[in-house]
Amino acid sequence: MSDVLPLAISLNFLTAWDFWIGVFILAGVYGLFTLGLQINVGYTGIINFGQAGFMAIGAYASVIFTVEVGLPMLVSLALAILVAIAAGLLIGLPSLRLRADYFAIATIAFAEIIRLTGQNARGLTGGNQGTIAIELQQEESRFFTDGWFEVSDWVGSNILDPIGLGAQEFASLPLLALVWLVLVVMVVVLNRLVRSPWGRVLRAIREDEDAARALGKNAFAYKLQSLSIAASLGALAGFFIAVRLETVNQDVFQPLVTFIGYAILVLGGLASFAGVMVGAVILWTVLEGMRFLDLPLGADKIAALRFILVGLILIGLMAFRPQGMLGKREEMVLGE
Amino acid sequence: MSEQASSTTAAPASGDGAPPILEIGDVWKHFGGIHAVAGASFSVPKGSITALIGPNGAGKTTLFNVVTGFYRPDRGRIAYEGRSIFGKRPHTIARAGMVRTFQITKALAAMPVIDNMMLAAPHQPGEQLPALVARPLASRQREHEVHDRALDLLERFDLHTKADDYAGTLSGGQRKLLELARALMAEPRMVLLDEPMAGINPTLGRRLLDHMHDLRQDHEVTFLFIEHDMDVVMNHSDEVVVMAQGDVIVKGPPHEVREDQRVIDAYLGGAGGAAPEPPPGDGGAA
Amino acid sequence: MEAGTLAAAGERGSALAQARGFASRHPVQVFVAILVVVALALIAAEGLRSFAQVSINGLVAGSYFALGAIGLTLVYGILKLVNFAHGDMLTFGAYVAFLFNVTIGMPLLIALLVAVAATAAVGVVLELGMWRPMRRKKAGMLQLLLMAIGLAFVLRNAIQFVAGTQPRTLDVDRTSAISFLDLTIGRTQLIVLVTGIVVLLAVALMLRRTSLGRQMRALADNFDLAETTGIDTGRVVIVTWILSAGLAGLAGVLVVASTGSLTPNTGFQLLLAMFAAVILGGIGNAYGALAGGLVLGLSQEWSTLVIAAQWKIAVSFAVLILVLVFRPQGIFGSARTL
Repeated sequence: MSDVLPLAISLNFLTAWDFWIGVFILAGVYGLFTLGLQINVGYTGIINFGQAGFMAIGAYASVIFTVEVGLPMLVSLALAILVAIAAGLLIGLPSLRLRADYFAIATIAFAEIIRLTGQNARGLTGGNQGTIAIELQQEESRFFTDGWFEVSDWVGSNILDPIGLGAQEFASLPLLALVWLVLVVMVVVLNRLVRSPWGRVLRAIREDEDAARALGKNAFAYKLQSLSIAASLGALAGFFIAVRLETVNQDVFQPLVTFIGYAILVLGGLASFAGVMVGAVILWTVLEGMRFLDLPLGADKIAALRFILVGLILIGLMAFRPQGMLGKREEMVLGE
Repeated sequence: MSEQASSTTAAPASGDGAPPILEIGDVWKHFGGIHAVAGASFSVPKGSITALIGPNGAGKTTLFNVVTGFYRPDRGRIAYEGRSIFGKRPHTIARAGMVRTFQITKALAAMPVIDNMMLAAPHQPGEQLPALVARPLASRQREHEVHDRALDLLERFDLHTKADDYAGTLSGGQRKLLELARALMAEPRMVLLDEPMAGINPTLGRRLLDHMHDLRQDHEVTFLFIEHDMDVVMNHSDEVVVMAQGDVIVKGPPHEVREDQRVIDAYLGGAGGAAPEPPPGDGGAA
Repeated sequence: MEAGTLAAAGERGSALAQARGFASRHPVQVFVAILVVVALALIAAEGLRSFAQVSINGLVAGSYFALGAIGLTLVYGILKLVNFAHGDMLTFGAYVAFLFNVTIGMPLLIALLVAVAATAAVGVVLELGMWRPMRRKKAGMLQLLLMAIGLAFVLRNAIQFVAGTQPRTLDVDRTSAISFLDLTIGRTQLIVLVTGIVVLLAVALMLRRTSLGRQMRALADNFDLAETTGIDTGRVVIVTWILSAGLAGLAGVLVVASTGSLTPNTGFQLLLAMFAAVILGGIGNAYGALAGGLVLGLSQEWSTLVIAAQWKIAVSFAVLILVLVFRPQGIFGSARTL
């Protein structure tokens, strides 16, 4: 199997840059997505298998608010995050009292309901055709990405040009820059948060919920807060995916997405926010690299191979190195 | 419907006539057909040290769990400081000043000892998200206070050298002390200890008991503890409550309880529990 | 053993609390009552004939839901493992059957038996190669969960790699149907239903009557305790996997025979419905899984009377969430503490 690097050398330079931009955009989006999983699993001890649902809400809500209601893009994003938080409370209130594995199952059901709604509520979401359908239905032509050009130009002139990266050649560069800017800021914020007294309670809950309660901590409330944070991050990732794909389709939000997030989570290491960034880049380099390899196989088979790899990574890590790359052995709470 | 089984009540350290800090009336709790607690009733005077004893399976730990809100009772009356706490959740009860330890220590092993301690401190605004964001200075100041107090408390239990180590690296006895120290960080008015002497060496145990007496003396903290070590029970408690098969069978001062035939029968007839042995000599608490 | 009335001393709770107390003591009756009410409402709204027809479809679907659910619950009961790869065992069984029935051209019965044996074998290999070593390492719940998910990925995509994504179908009679009392059932569906019910009954009997069944129930109750009583836990665990995987393989074949479409995702798409069945019946309880599977199959088909067909699966999710909210231990599960 040839390495990606020779490929990058042998191919057209432009194509190679596109490859890396694509990888890093995906890594950045999935990084945000997985930060939510990290605060849930690595710092609160709740197993959220429904993160794809929050991403779907973020994507769909952003598009719908922009296209059908006519709000500015960033306002739509803010509202989409609120909707995701509301959904998080809706699933969290009845389910967070359950055992960890039951909660996991409840969250998958929740995510699938969201996806099913996206698939079948044709009037709202465009159904299987995706949000392009509702965009085309508008009387005045109103596309989700219209607002993006302004943002993109702003990022280009204020961030990229000063450091010498001309945005003209690489249209996706502003998106990449913005995604990673947000990602790094979130990592810093989350790190501060978990080192705070609030974070200390969270870690105690992860460690032993009853002990925390016996010391006067309302574990349920903290878990709801953790889930809400994850929902916000998932929605944020969903927004960026919507910008990237330019049209939103429920197919994008299969449970598969959540489990890729978990692969990144365990690769980078439990309880490490920086590890999420590293894990995301590594995983997506491998996954996208496989797509670009010149294997004498059909597209279906290559797709299958990619996900076999994800599965093997999950199995391998759990069997041989559960703390991942940057996780600490003492912090590892996978043993119960 | 709180009952007093014996004719005389032991005088607690504080004066008579003070209302009991904890009243349990006809409490029932069943699990799938078995009544773990069956109509238990007793009250604990404020500022007293009360021992809760009984053979294995008598329902002592279950009663602890019911009183502290971890189990929901089927019915009965539970009042703390005069107010009903029936059905209240554990964290609410803990914040009201009733703190407990667990039979199997719950030291948070993956967190440093100092974090264990600081966690328990009440009134830390930084534990609430809005206050953390809006009043960072208040939060930081409280952290300093709490940190200092935690180190003080750790020193009293000879654990201060371990402050930055993960709690998981402590020995069993040290973890027990940590759990007690942590409970005390919460500034409780009543402490429920589940087998505090189990698994710790006599020296540490002595220290624990001394601390208990000091707290009762200086701050009127009430103690209710489950114990199997009869020496401790006889020599350190004002009053003994005996449970068997989910109910309270005898209650009274240690020397009375020790000789009560019902208690001896309960232990001998109970599920493998040891009968309480009278201390050597003529015993009696000082 | 409760005393008569307790006046002032004690908090008995309001009428609502008493109603909930009643419901929690008689869950089966309450649940059956709910089903009966729903059924009557549907009959009133849509007519007896429509109701009976969808009920037949529901029982067919319920039979393979139940077969899959039993396997899932048995493994959970003994190993406390939520086997996310279970759906893909169904898929695997179905593809093996496809291989022997369509590609090689054997009669369906032979293909089915081979499929069941092959899937059971895979189950055993996975136990020996993966689950047992992890248990020895004292792996925690999250570790096992993620491994199961990784395994699901590997299985599903290995199948896709080999067999491709285009939908396949088994060589069965898809057209002839049997009519009685103005109702129809496809010939194949009838065979699926009968096969399902027979196997379900056999499994139920095995669990109750045979010593092996008793041992399995003992392990599910308390694994460590059972070990001390001299039960060869290793052997029982292997048999559990044989049963679980074998039933999954069978369920997979029956699904495809009944619905006529097989893709690498077929089994995984049923996984949530099977989870719902398992939790509805009480996790770890095989009879519960049986009942849960049938009820879920019925519920899904009943729902087509009132909502559009593509929302059918949502019924399983709704049932799942409702059970988790109101009675997480399931209908046949025992009460837990707060």
